[in-house]
Amino acid sequence: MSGPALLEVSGLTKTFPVKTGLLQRAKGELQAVTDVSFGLDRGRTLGVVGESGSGKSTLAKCIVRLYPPTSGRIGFRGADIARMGEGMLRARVREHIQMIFQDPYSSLNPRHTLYSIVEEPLRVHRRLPAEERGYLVDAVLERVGLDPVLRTRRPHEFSGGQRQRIAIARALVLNPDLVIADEPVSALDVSIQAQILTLMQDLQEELGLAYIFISHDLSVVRAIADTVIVLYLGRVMEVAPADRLFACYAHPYTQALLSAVPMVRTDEEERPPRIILAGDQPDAANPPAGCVFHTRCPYARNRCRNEVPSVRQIADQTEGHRIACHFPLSG
Amino acid sequence: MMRSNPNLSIGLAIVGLLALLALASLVYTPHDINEMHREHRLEGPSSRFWLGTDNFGRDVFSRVMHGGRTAFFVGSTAVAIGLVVGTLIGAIAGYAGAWVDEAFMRVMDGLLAFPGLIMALMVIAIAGPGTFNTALAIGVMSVPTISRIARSGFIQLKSMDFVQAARTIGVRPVAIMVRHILPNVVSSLVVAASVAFAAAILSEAGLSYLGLGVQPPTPSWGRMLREAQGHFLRSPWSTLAPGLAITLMVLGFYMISNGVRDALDVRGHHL
Repeated sequence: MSGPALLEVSGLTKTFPVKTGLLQRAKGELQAVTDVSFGLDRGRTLGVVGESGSGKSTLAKCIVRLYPPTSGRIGFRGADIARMGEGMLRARVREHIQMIFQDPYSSLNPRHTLYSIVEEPLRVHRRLPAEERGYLVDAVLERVGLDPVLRTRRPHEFSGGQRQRIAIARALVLNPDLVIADEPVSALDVSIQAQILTLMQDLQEELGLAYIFISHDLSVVRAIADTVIVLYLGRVMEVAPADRLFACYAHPYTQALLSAVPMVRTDEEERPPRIILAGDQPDAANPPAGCVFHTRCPYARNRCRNEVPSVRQIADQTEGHRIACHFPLSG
Repeated sequence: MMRSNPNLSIGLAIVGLLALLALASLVYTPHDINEMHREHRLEGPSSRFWLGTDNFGRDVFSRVMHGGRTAFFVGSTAVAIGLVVGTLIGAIAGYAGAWVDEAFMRVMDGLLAFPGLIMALMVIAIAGPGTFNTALAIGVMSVPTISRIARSGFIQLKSMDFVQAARTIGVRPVAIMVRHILPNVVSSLVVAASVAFAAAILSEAGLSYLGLGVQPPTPSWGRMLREAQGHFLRSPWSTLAPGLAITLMVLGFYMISNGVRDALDVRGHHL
């Protein structure tokens, strides 16, 4: 770990105004992401897990700057892009950060051809003269497993898995540093999921990409992530290297998530105690006091109801295991 | 997609036939449209005058053919004005949102508050009567409706993932609107345009009937109705023919708009 990280997010917060009534007056605020901090090095993968509504997608959209964050810093290649204007983003940042969306049926323009979709980033950023772009596009298409002969086809002529390959090709054609994948395989069949994940891993090795991989599926994250962030109601619950998180999670919420993963029983692996969370996630516009998880935590005590736990380093010298809990589970 | 679509085919057939007659009038009409056959005034259909003659003894069929030209000219000019201006306003309002949207849409609401014909009369009062000014007036009339349709399409599409993806790639807003959103809104604009065309034909007829639209000697169906109405009991043909032409034209365009909507609904599922 030498030099500054590729991506350095600190204190990232995004609130949306809650508008009601005839005059659309802002009635309150919805904190979709609250005080999230992490770093990501080149060539590494950060997994972000949490239930739907936990702020995963908002976090992603803040980092690609589809949304302006409300506060906090997003350091990317040494510059703070959190408050950068749109013109500056286009000139300096957009080509280095790409995004893969969850639903490949809506992330590709139905009126554009395969070629025009994958070539567009090159055209926008004036990479290569027009007549040379074709070779690069073909090479990228082949690399992601699509036949360049299909270049005049439109998205509806492809299957879900092929469409996600198109989305990957579009994200990779500029050779970015960082790819943010928001649930890239959850809309796909399980057999296709594995293919897409393998493809993404291979590409990471070849191109030195950094991924932010968002998923509600822990087994998928386990397969691909180096570090994992667990989000609940927009707040970081636990951060740890992937293998450590799955072996010695310390947050009750992580435990609950892990216990919900269906798995084939093996003798070596001990199944975590089955914990079924009662109720729904609280309303993000009106979060509970104290630890936001206390309303559903099986171990909640008085302190949890009153005092917000800060994110702190736990355990020994194991680097990077942080947790926001007053009463971490002991190993 | 290739399912039978009677609305579309019948509509296209009607409009196509009328368009053919109007086009033919460029090179040939059975009689000169202004030639008065004084000894044949207010006659019924005959082998010489297919749809009879009017009170000046002019051939009604030739004038209906030529009136179709006027109708198509006014309709397409008006729709072109309405489409260009309306789509531009709707696209900007819908894509920009916030106060830009508010500002544009309140102005459109203001325009909608006047009955269309009053609006058109206002434009004609300012610009004066005449064929082009009639088209301009009718075009202005159709702007609010078309801009609303474009706006709702742009609002609906701007939040879609492929538009978001274009933004993350770094595509500029104008290019996003033109290359990414517009092609997906075209279908609803086509429907709106064919409805607007039918409405424009009716408005032109209405304005010309009032004597404010197309001016003589250019034949217009509305004007023909006005001139012939006093002689309806003696010779209904000179009134019925232009009336029937207006009816068929409007019906044809409404059928086309319904047909287009049906055809696009089927494909819409791919979106």
